[in-house]
Amino acid sequence: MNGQDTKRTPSLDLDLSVRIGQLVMSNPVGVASGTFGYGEEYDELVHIDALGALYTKAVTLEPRQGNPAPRLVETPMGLINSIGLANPGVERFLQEKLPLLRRRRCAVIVNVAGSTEDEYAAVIERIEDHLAAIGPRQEERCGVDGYEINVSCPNVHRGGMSFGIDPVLIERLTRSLKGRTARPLILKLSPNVTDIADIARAAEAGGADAISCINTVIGMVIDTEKLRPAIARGTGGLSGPAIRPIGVAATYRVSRAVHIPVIGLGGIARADDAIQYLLAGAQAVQIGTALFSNPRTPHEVLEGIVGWMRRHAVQRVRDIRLMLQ
Amino acid sequence: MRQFNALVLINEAIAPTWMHLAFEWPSNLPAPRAGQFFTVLPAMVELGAGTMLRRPLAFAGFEPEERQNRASAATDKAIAHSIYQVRGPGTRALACHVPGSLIDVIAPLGNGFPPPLLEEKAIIAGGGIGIGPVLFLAASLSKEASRRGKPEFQLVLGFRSASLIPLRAGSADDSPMAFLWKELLAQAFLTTDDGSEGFRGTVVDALSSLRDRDGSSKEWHLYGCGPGPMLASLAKFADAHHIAAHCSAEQWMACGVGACHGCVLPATSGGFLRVCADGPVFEANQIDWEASLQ
Repeated sequence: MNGQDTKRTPSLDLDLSVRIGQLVMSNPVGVASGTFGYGEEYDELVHIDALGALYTKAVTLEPRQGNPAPRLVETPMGLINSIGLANPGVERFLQEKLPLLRRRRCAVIVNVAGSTEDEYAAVIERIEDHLAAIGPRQEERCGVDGYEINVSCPNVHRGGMSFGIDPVLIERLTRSLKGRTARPLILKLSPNVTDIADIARAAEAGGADAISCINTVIGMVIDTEKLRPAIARGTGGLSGPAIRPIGVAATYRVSRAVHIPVIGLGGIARADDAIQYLLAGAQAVQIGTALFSNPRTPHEVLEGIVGWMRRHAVQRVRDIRLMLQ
Repeated sequence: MRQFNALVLINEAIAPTWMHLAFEWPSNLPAPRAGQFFTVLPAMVELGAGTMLRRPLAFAGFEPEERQNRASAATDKAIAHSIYQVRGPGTRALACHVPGSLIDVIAPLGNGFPPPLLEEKAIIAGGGIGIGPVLFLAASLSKEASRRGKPEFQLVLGFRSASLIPLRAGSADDSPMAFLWKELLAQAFLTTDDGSEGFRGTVVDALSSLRDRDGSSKEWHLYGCGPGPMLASLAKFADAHHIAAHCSAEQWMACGVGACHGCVLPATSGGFLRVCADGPVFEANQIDWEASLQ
C-alpha cells in the first residue's frame, strides 16, 4: 500500500472494530456523554458518522433544568462542571432527539440517569416501547444501539452516585435493567470510590456488557476575592487532561478485575493519551472535554491510533490491551 | 459555523490590558453580525496554569473582502476584528500571537443584535470591555442607508476612568478599523465612574439624563453590552420606561456551540438559557439579571 492510500483510507488493512455485547463499533473512538449533546450542536464541526460511537447526554425520566449558574470553572488542564443532568426528559428525547440520531451511521449509546432503580428502569422501558412501536424503517438505524448507565454523576443529590459507590446496589440495578433490554448495557463508573474494581465486579456479576471508566473526579475551586466557591454548587466534577492518569490507572485495575470490555475515558486529548488507555486494558475510548478545545480531536486521535498500530505492527485494535509489558 | 486556522493581521494594545485582534476571514463564510462571537484556541504554555478551553470573544467590527488591496492591511480578504482584555493565562497566550501567526477559530457563533425598527432610535450602551459589540453595531448602523434616511442612533460608552479609554494618545494602532472606532468614540456620549472625563456616573445614570433631553420623535430601542450589574440596571431602566431592549450577556463557556449547557443564565420564565446558543443577545427581560448576579 502506498502512502497516498494510507492517507485516504487509513484503516484499510487494519481491524479497528470493537465489540460490546452484540454491538460492533466501527472504531474505538467515541464522544463522551454530556460533552456532545445529542449530536445536533456539533453537526457542522464534526464528521459524526465517522465516530466509533456517540454517547448522548444523559436522559432522565422527567425533564431537568439543571443546577444554578455559574456551572463551570477552568482549572489547570481541566474543567470543573456542575451541570446537574440538564436534559429534556425521555419523552422529548424520543420526540425531538431520536429522529436525528436514527440517521447517524455511528453507534449511538443512550446515557441513562435516575434517582431510583425504578427511574432508570422506566427510562429504558419507555425507550424500548417506543422503538418497538415505530419498528425498523428503511435508510434508518434504530437510533439506540445500547445504553450507558450513569451511576456516577457527582452533581445531583440523588443522581446515581448513591448507586455508584455501593456494589450491592450496582449489581441489583444492573440485573434489573438487563432484564428490560436486549441491547448492550454499559455501566459508567465513578472514580470517587474506595475501590473501583469492586464496583466493576458487581456490575459484571449483574450482567453488564461493558464498563465505562471513569466519570469525573470531585473537585472544587474557591474564588479568593469573593470568598466563595467558583461554581454555584460548590463542588463539581473535574475532567480534562488533569485527570488522565487517574483514568488510566482505574482502567488498568478494572480491566484486570473483570472479563467484559472496558471503555476508557478521562482527559484524552491526543492519540497518545488514547493509546495509554488501550494499553492499560481498554477496548475503546471516549473523548470528552478535549472536544471543547478542538472538535476535531476524535478524528485526530483515531488517525494517531492507526499510525501507531502501523508502527507497532498491530493489526487489530482489540489486541493493543494485550501488549502492555 | 466553521473551524478554521486564521491568519493574525493585528494584535495590538489599544488601552491598558486591552488588545485589538484582527484576523483574515474565510471567503466562504457568512459575515459575522454585531453581537455574534467566535471562540479561539491560542497556543498556550504557562506552567501551573495550563489552560485548555477556547476563549469566547465578541466581534467588534468586520471589513468585507475588497477587490483592491487595502493600503494598510496585509490582505485583500475580509477581516474580522475583536477587542479583548488580557485577564488570565488564556488571553495572555492570545496576546503573544504576532501578526503572521495562525489562530484556531470557530465562528460565527450565537445570535446578533436585531436591527432597530424604522420608527426607533437605537440607544447603544457599552461598558468597559463590552464596547466591542456595540461599536460594531454602531458601525453597521452608520453604514446602513435606507430610503427614509440613515438609522438614528446614539452611542453611550462607560469606563471606570479616562485613562482606560482605548485608542487615545500613545496608541500605535493606525489601522482603518481603529480609525473608525476613534470616530465612533468621538461621537459617543462618554461616562466615567470617577468623573475624570465626560459624564460622572454609570452608563445607565447617563441614559436617564439623555432621555430627559432627547428631542427625537422616535421610540428608543436600547442595546447593551457590558458587566452584569450594568446589564441588570439597563434592563430595569428599559422596563421602567417601557423601552425595547436587547443585551449581550457573558458567562464562562466550555463548548461554545450549545452542547454542554455550561454557560447558562437564569431565565425570567424559569429554567436557564444558554448564553452561547440561545444568546449571547437576549431581550433584556428574558434574563433574571438580579439572580444572575448572586
